[in-house]
Amino acid sequence: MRVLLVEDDKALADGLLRTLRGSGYAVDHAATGELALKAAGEEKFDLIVLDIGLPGISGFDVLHQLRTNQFRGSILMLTARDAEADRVKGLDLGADDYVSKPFSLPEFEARVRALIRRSQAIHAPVLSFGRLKLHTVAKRAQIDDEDIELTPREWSVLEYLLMHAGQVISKDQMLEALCSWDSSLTHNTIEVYVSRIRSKLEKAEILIRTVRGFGYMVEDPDGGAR
Amino acid sequence: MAAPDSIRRLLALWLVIPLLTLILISAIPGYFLAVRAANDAYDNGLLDPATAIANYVRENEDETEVKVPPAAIEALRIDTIDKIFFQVTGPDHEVISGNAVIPNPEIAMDNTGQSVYSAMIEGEAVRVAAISIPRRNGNVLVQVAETTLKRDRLVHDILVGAFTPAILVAFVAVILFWFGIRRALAPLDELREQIRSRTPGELSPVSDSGAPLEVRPLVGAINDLLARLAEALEAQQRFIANAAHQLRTPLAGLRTHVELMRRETSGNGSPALIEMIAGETERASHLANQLLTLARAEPGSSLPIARVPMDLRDLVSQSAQAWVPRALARDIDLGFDLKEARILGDPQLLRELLANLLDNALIHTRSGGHVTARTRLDSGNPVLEIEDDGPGIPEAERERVFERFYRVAGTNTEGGGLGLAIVREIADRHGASIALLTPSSGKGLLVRISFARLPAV
Repeated sequence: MRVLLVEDDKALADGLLRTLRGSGYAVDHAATGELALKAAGEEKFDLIVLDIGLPGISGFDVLHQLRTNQFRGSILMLTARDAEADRVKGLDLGADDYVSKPFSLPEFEARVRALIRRSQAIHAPVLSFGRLKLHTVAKRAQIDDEDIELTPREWSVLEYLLMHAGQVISKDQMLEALCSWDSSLTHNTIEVYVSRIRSKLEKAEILIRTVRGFGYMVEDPDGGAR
Repeated sequence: MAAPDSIRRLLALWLVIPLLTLILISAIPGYFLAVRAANDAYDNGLLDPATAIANYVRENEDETEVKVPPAAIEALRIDTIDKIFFQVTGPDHEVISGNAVIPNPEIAMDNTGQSVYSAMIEGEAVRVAAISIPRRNGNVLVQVAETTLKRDRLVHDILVGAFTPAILVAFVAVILFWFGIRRALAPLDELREQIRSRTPGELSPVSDSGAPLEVRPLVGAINDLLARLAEALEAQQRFIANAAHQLRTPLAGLRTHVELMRRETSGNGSPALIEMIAGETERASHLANQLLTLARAEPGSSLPIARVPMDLRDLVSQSAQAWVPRALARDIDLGFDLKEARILGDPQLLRELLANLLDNALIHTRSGGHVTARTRLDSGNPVLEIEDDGPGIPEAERERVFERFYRVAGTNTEGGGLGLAIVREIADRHGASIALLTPSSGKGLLVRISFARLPAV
């Protein structure tokens, strides 16, 4: 996985580089927007971590330029500004997600992992979550190479939860994403599927937490240092 | 304190009073002209009886004798309006005939020996016609006097005839002035309305279309001030944005490095020192955020707050992402109970309000405790509630916790003491009320923010 970090602050860049490299990614660093555009033009990156407050060309301009140049990887914005409008603007310009400074490292890592996984899912047919493997094309799940029985609906719910591992997911959000295959889905049926999945995943040591009155959060089995 | 000068009053004083004065002054020559016209009209008529009486003056050798026939005297009385007197005096001013004492003329006779003048008889104003008839031993003076009622009436009629229109004109002029002044000052009223109806953040130039030439420089000056004000506010906003950036980036760097350091040492037992640095870094980050929020939310800051239609439920859902992991890290069960609650508000400030409430609740709840965020309608009013089962706040201290940097005695020191002050500032700017209550379980704290009902569309 190739990551480009665009951040002008030396200390922060250094810390993030060490973090990302520690997670096993191949990371390049650009301190300015010009250098970032040059690097993105020459090499292929799966993810660009882009600071908005850059000297010279602003992060927004870099973002716009990247998407205009058909950059297809994920883009994670780092923003130090308060303004709501800035976040909306960034997302409108084609950023996939953002974290606000001063963020906590685990939060940053969770976002990076989620974005990488999403871009991976397009290319890689097999995703690993600790001892669990998901074969995205065949729609099969394995724990330690042992198949587990899942109905198509259970599979969809599990896939959705795992693709958002480390994030808090509301039931509304799940309904919206999954109702394309089942319009009869309700909060209650989601609860039923999740409880079945829980028992089937017992051996995989994947913890699906319930967020009371809201939804779920899957503890990322790959969280922390890789 | 003296009342301020009113343009209306000044204009009225300077237009109406001079106008009335001028009309009065113009009446003075008018009066004299009228008197002269009246005298001219009646003086000749008064000379006639004097001439008639003079014709009765006979001259003997040494005596002057006047025999005025009773019919003639009667004729003198025909005048029904004025009283008429006559007197004939001899060369030595001895009265020869007459029915009243008439003062002598003080002016010289003209060459015809006639004169007409004003005098007083028994306290009454009279007009006197005098004819002097030369005799051997001196002049005989014939005087006929007439009271001035006819003349006064004529003067009065002339004056009324001449000045009634003038007074009418003055009256109409005053009314026109009044409308004119109102009309002329209307653009000022309009300008006042235009400026008064503005929100503090509305600093676009005031329109001077329709403003008269004289008011335009004032509008120009106001617009100039507004422009400078907008510039200053923009500079302030830029400063806050810059300060945010300048503070947050190094803090993000610091947090990253502290976390990396913590991980590197985690194998051989994390030293307390690193934990302390981590804790302090967290606090500094938190404080920086809070101060910047406060700078924006304070009424004095006059930075505009947005009023966009939004749902408190969405606001809370969106923040779940950030707060659930934090609650988990403290082993606190953060739950939600969210129903639609639509308000008009500034999403960014309200996110900060929510963050401070949740932060407070998490800090003051022991591990294993529960925190619940709730949105709902409370008899029509949109409400945001954060409930915890921590130690709560004693009744006596509930008002003071809103003061900046105030801390409830005996609580841990993790909170910066700014949280609830920020909550109050933001709630105030939204016209929302805050209540600190005891949850129905009887334990912990329930903070309720009640917003104004959304106006019906």
